[in-house]
Amino acid sequence: MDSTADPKGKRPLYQEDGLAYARAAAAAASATAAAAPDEEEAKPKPKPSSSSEEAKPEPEAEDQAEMPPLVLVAEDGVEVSISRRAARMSHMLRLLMEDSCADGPIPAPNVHSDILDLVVQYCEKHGPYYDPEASERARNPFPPFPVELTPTVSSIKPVTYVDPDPHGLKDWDKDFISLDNSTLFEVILAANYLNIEDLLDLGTTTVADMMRGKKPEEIREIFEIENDYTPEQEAELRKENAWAFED
Amino acid sequence: MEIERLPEELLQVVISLTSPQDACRTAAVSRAFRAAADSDVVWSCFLPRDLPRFGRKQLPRSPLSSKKGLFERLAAQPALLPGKLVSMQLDRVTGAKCYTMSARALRVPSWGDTRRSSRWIHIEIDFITGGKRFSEAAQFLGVRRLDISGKIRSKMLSENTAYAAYMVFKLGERLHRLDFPFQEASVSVGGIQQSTRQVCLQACLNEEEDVVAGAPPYHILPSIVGPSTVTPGEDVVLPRRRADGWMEVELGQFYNEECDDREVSISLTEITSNVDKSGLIVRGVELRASTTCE
Repeated sequence: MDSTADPKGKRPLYQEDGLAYARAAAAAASATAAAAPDEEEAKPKPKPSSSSEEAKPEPEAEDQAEMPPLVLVAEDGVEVSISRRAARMSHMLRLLMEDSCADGPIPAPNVHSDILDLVVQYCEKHGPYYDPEASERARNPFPPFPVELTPTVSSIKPVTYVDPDPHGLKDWDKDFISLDNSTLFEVILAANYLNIEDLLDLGTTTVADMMRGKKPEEIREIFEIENDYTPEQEAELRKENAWAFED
Repeated sequence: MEIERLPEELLQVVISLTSPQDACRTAAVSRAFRAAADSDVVWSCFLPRDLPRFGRKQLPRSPLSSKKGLFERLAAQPALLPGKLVSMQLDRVTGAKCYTMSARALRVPSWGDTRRSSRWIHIEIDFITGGKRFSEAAQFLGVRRLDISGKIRSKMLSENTAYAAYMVFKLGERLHRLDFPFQEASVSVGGIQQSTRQVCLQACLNEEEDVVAGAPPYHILPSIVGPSTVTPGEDVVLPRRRADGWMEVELGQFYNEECDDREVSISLTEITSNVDKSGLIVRGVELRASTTCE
């Protein structure tokens, strides 16, 4: 069956520039610092709990707890530390840790320390339950269109019910993400830079929820956006997609 | 102002999490929003992951310039599948794939040797062009065994979507015995019954505004032997009149889960009574995304 839908993933690619920049800066900082103990022997076997055939060794969660936390440097110079276990949630930091470039201070330009605190708070909360491989597996490259339809009573139910929120983090997330718009967008941008998929998902979903079902004027008001259409252009647009403006 | 700090790709992600209707509305917010809202990234998410193969000439020969254009084309009017027996249309609100099986695509009772009992008749269809098969309906005049069924593979439908099946029909000449006994309608997936109910084809739900004004909830069309005295109970599903003048009756509902390919079977039967049923004209069966559940 031919597929005429382009299977384009909708996740933004992680910033290659940001990673290289952070690596270089971390390497330079490490070189000037006292020689860190050789961690090659400390790098242990792959996680026994993982069911993937990943050959690349990943530090055990328990071992990580003994290793010193990472130090992130915000744009205002303030240093924010993050445990290694929490840092795994950031794809960028994970790669730095694997490459042993995470010993010195890691710059996070364009991220204010207040925002960085929030991001670290999120990672510390979710870190203990985070499994990178499970996250990759669950991360469907072709996410289905979010259709909010409830199944009929008579439909076939799966034999084993999988609790989508086994650690009760949904409520915590809801409180966490109740931020003013300005902070919310800063958190999204920081999550994008550090490549923290779960936090990015939480942020973008929250913004989408704020936009859903709203008229253009309402959206402009919520997000303080200037209307740069002329009245004629706007009328034309509404006519073109008349069905969308029906109610 | 802060939302404008988001790079375009993140704005696209946000919009792709809303809906086709929201995407059209946000295009009217500002030019920057329009660029994101009209992008292929967004509309790729609204289009079904798998589209069926369509018949020749259904989609314009040159590739449509955008995913939004493709969505528009498939949502605005049905597209015929090869063989021209079945057509597909996207539900604008949900992006779900909805199908119409023409009467020729259904299995209808063998009509026996008497020409008077049933035949194919021509009907006026103006919503689909080039569909000779769609312009034919099955007319039943004196069938003892009413057994109409249609099948479709579940992989053709949208995953994780609730569907409702409808039979589109009319009551024509020599109307007889479609009021009682009530017909049995059922839907099964992979051989397991999902929904079963009784319907009364000769009844018709009255318009809501009339009911509010004091009219009864339904009426029953008189047959050739006179008015009907049947009173369908609460659980008997009644047909309603469509905007195009045809009737439709909901045959059943089911939920298409994200799983391997199964056969969805929809049927309408009346095989218990020994009388000849007459006057039914079947145009087809429609499968539409449903937003309510029983």
